[in-house]
Amino acid sequence: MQGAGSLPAVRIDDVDPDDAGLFWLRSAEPGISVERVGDGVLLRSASLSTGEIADAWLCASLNERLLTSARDRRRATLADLLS
Amino acid sequence: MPVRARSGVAGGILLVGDGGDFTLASRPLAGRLLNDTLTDFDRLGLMREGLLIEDGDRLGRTAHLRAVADRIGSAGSLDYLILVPTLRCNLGCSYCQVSRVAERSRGFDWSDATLSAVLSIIDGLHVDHVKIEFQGGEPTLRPDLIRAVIARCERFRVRQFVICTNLQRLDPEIMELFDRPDVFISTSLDGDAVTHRRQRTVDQTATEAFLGNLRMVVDRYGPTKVSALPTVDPAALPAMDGLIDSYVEHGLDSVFLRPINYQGFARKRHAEVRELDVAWRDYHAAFVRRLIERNWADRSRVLEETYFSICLRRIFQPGADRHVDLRDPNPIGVDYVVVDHDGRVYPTDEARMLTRSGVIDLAIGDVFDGWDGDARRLLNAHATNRFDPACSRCAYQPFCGRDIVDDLSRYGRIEVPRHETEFCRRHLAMFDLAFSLIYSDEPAVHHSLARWLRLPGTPGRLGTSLS
Repeated sequence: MQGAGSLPAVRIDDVDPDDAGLFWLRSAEPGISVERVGDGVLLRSASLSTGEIADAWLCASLNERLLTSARDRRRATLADLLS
Repeated sequence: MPVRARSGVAGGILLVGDGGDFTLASRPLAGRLLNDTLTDFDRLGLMREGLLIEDGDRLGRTAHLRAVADRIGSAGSLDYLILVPTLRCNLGCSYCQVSRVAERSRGFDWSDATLSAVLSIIDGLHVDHVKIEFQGGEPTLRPDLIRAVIARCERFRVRQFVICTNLQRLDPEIMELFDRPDVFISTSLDGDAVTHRRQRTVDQTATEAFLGNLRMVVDRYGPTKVSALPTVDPAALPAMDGLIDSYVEHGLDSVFLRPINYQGFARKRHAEVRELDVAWRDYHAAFVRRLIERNWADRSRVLEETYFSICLRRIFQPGADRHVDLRDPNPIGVDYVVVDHDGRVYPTDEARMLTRSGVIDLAIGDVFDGWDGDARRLLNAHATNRFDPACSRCAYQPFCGRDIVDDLSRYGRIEVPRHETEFCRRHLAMFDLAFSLIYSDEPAVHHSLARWLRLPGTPGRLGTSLS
């Protein structure tokens, strides 16, 4: 992650612009713009600091991971019950 | 373990479990949680806070399920009726939220048949406690109808009646009702005399009559029997201390900040308040902080903003779900209904206003034929935030609620993405404020939060942290 340009910005490598976490990040923080850069994205905001942008991304990606994990466990439990 | 994270709160990452347990995590800890590289120490800390259950921990699993169950609101039998015996009123406030008609209008009071049907409904309640709120119009224009309802409730072990009145005219007949220990008085006080006159009473005589009557009922019965709330114009926010002082001067400790509601006649006259903006939310937060300062400066009394206290109790006290504007699920027409002047039944008072405004007919039935119909079932299929994709990613979901009628009022539909609704923005701000205060180091903040939570003492801390 690094700052770029005149607005506070955070670069995220190895992430697809269609990533679900990015979608929900933009939903929760409409002030954050997402720009494709190389194999990642650049998150910019006129109202948040780089630390705040990074924290928002951390939460968005963490929520996606935890939701996916919970969903996978539910499916495994259900498959176990049905087997 | 279903845990959700939120940034921007108290300098850390707030982690909230779906049972409502929470802790403030450091960024490195949140990072390790994201990368699945938790240390044993991390795991112990998260387990202690109820945010992680190890495989095979059956007691932990059961405790978690219990916590989740406690967070799911359970609307019981019908025990709360909001009754509108008349739509007539002797005031004409520009933003009237109850869609009134002039005092001398005809055909806007309960008919004998309506009264009889309401009494039959009361007879059929399968509970030993009942709460009945008389709204209007101005319900004291028909004390005979109020008396008839109260008389029919003698069989209930616990009875509470709230008369929502503008206190413009009090006569012996009204005072006899007020004298009952099971009757409570709710009124509106918009601030100092000038503000109240501008927004409600219009002329000096009516203003003085109201203020005199308010003073008289508080003196006669004490502040626990009388409540008041201001309607605040977001476009002309009042000075905070002036508003607080107007309540303090009347011996009232609770202020329920209520913005002009985008419903009823207010929809037509004050369309600019459709979206409460950042200024309103900042005002509300500053108001709460001002109360904290005043409570600390004078610890002999506890001032509170009622809605903030409700949100605070939603965090710490699972099951605090009788405030029907903030609970989940929030089914309609189950444990409470509104009966209008013509006997039609509505899920909420806001639904009644929307219907009166000609926006959408949200009546779910009437007192003659009941209200267990398709309209109610259709709305109740969507009365939860639990499976919403935005809410399922929100740390505040366990504390928050769902208000279908509010969505219909503002957007004309209920499938607007949750994070785009005013309900969501408002409550995100409320819970952000709550958690920023919960993690405050200031003794003054702890003092007020503990009082608002009705705690006997003041804990050294209200939230845990993990690094």
